[in-house]
Amino acid sequence: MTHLQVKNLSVNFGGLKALDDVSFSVAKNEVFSIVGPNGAGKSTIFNVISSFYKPSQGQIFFDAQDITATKPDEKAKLGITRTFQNIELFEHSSVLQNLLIGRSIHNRHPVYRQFIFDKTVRNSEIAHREAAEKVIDFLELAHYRDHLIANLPYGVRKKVELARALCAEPSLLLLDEPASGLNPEETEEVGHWIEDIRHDLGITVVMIEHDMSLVTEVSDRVLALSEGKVIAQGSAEEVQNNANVVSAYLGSA
Amino acid sequence: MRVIFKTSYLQDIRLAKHGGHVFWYTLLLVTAIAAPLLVDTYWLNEVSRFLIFALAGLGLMIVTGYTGQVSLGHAAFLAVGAYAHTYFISHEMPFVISLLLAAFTSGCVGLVVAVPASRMTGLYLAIASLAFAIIIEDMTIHWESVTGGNRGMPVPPPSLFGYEIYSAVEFYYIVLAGVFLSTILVLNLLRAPFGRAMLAIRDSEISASSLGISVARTKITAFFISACITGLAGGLMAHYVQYLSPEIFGILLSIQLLLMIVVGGLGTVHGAFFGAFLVGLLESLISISKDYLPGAIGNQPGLEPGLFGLILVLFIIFEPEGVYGRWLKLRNFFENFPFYRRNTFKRQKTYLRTDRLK
Amino acid sequence: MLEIAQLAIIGISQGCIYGLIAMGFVMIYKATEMVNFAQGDIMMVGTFVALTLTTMAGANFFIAFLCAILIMTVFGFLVDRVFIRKIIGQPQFSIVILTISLGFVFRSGAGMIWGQSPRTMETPFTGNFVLGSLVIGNERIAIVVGTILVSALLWTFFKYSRWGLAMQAASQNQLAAFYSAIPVKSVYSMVWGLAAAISCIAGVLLAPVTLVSTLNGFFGNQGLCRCCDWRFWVFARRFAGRVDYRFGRAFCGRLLA
Repeated sequence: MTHLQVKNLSVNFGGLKALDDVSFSVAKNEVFSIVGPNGAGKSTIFNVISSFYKPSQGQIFFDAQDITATKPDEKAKLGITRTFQNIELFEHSSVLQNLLIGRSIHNRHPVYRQFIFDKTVRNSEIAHREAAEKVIDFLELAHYRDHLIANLPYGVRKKVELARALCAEPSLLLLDEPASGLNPEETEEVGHWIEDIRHDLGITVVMIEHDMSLVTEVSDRVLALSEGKVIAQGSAEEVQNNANVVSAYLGSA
Repeated sequence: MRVIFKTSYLQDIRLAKHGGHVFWYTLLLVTAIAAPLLVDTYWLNEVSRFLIFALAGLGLMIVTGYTGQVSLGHAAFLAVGAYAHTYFISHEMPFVISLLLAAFTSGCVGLVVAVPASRMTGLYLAIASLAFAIIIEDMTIHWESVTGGNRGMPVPPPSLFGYEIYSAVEFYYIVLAGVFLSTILVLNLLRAPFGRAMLAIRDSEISASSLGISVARTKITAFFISACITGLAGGLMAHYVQYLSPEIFGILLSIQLLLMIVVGGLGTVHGAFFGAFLVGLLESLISISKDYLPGAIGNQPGLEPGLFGLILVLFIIFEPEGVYGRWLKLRNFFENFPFYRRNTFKRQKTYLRTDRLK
Repeated sequence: MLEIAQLAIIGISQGCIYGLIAMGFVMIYKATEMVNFAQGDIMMVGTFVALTLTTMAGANFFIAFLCAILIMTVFGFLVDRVFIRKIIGQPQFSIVILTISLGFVFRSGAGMIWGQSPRTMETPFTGNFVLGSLVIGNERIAIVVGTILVSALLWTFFKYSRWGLAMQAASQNQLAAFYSAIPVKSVYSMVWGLAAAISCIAGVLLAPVTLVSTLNGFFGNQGLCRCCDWRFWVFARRFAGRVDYRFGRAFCGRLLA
C-alpha cells in the first residue's frame, strides 16, 4: 500500500533546477533511502515534503491525500516528522524539554486552560511525560534526560533529534543523514534503531544517507539522484551496480 | 549539592521542585505580605513601583525572553493600559473590571502589531513595534477627548466595593495581588505545552514548525498575552503616577524595559524581577550621581538613555544570561566545588546562524 | 507644469537620501545578516565629525568631507571589531538589542561632546540653481549628484576590486568564502567601515536640508523602515523604488494641499 507518493516534482531556484521531474512512492512500513552526490537535491526533496520550499511543479500525496500545499505544521499533524541535516534542536532546553516539545501535536488544550493548569492539563502533562519516557527508554537516553542540549556531544544530539521526532508518534519519518558525523559503531547503532523503529513502532522511514553500508543494511529500496534527476531506483544492490550511479559518483570514463 | 530522588512525574511538573523552593518562596511571600509593617510609606511606594515594573518586564519577557522576538516599543502597551484604565474608571466602571478590560484592550492593540509582523522574521517585529510606539505616543497627544492631550489627565483613586483607596498600604496590596496572580499564571503557562512552544520558536523556527507548532499563531498569542500583562501593569502604574501625560511613556521607557529583562536574565521569570530591582537601583544611582558629575555630563538629557544603552551593550556581550544567569553559575560553582567545569556554561562557538534556508 | 518639475526634483533628491542611508543598512544586512539599528546614529556622528572639521579646523569643506569619510570608515571598522564581532552567531535578537543600544550610546555621547542644540553646517551647496523660471536649491542638486557618484563608485568597487568581490562572496556563502582564503572577519569589518562611510556622506549631504543635531539619527531609522524590502539589492531597482516613493509623497502632499 502506498504511503507517500511524489509525482513529477520539480523545484527551481532562479535558473537552477534543483529537482527535475522526480517521482517515487514509498509503501507503508518500508525503509526507503535516497542517495546521491552532494548537491544532487536530496535535502530539497525533504524540504518540499515538509513545505519549506514550494515546488514549481508536481504533487505530493500522503495516504492518497494531496499535501503539496499543506503548511509545515499541518504536516506534523498528519503524521510526518523529520530530522535535519545540521541538527536543529532547542539549544537552551533540556533533553526532556525537547522531547516534550516533540509532543506538541498531541496537545489539545486551549491556552486559557493552560494558564489555569487545571487537572486535565496536569493529567495530560503526565501522559506526555510517560510517552516521552518510553522514547527515552527506546533510544537509551535516560542518562542525558536532564542535560542541556548545548552541553551534549554530537552523537547524542543526533539521537535526541531522532527521539524528538519519534515523540510525535509519526507514521512517516524523514531522516536527513542520520549517520553523518558518526563513527562506525554509532552508525551501526543507527542501523539497529531504524530496524526497531520500523518493526516495533511500525513507522515508515524515508532516509537520506551517504553511508552505503547503512543504506544497504536497512533499506528495502533505494533511489539515486544526481543533479536533480532520478538516475536509478531499486534494491540497494541494483542501484549500486547501476552504470549511471557509478558514473555520477566517479565521473564517466 | 542537593540530590533529588524522583519518584513521580508530578515532581517535575510542580511549580516548587523541592522543599527548598517551598521554604524560600513562602518566606518571600510572607515578607511581601508583611512589608507594610517593616518599612515606611516612602519605601512601600518604592516597592509598589518595583512590582509594577517587574510586571511590565514579565510581559516583555514573554515576547522577547521566551519567544525570542524583540519588541522595542513595549512602553506603548503600558500607555494603552494606563489610559484605558483611567478612561474606564473615570466613566464609573468598577475598578477590577476596568483593570481587566484595560489589559484586554492593550492585548487587542498588541494584535494590531503582532498579526502583520508574525508573517515575517523577528526583525520586522522590532521595526514595527518601534514605529507603533511612536504612533501610540502621537495618539496620546492628539486624541484629546480620551487622553487629555499634552495637558494629561488625573487618575481617580482606585475604589474597591465602593470604598476609595488613598493609602499606600492598600494600594500596595492591590499591586501585590496583581503581580502575584499574574506571575502564577505565567509560571503555569510556562510549564504547559504553550510555554514549550514559545521556547521552541525562539530556538529554531523551522524545527518547531516541523513538529507541528504553528509559528505564526504562537507568536501572535504570545504577543497578545505579553501586551495584556504589560497593559495590566500600565493600569496599576496609572494609580502610582496619579497623573498621566504623554511624556511618561516615551521610547526611553521601552528601552528601560528592555534593559530590565536583559540585565535580569532573558528567558527566566526571575530575570524580570531581578531586572526591575536593579534598574530601579540604577535610576536612583544616576539621580544621586548627577549632583557629583561635571555639568557637561551630569546635566545631559541624554545621560540616562546613554547609560542604559551602554549597560545593555555590556550585558549582551559579556553576560547575555543576565544577573540571574550569573547567579546560577555561581551557585553551580559552589555546589560542585571543587569539580566545577569551566565549560559548563560556555557559549558555543557558532559562526553565522543563518535564517536563510540553504 | 513648473511646479510638477520642481516637486519632482525635490522628490528625487529626498529619495536619493533615503537610498543612500538604506544602502548602508542593506550592505550590512546582505553581508552579515545583521540589521544595524545604529546606522542612523552612525550617520549623525559622521555629520558631526564633518561639522567639527569644517568649523574648528577651518579646513576646506571638501578636504574636511574627505577626512570625515575616512574617520567614519575607521569608526565603522572599530564598531565591528569591538562590539559586533563578539556576538556573531548569537540569536538575531541579541544583535537587534546590541545595535539599538549602541545607537543610544552614540546619541548620548554626541550630545555630551557637541551639545543638544541643532547647528548649521557651512557647505558650498548654497544658493539656487535657476533654469528659466525653474528654481532648485543647490543642496538638492548636490544630493542627487552625490548619490549618483557614490552609486557609481560602489558599483565599480563591487564589480572590479578584490575587496568588493570578497564582500560579495562572503555574503553569499560565508563558509565557502572562508575556504577560498577570503579573510571573512576582516571583510565584515570592512563592510561596516564602508557602510559607515556611506552614511557619513548621506549625513553631510543631508546637513543643509535639515540641521545638524543629535536627533538626526531618527531620520536614519526612517530609512531603515524604507528598506524593509531587502530585494532592492540591485542599485538601479532600489533607486527606482525609492525615487518613485519619495516623488509620490512630496507630490501628493503638495497637490492635496
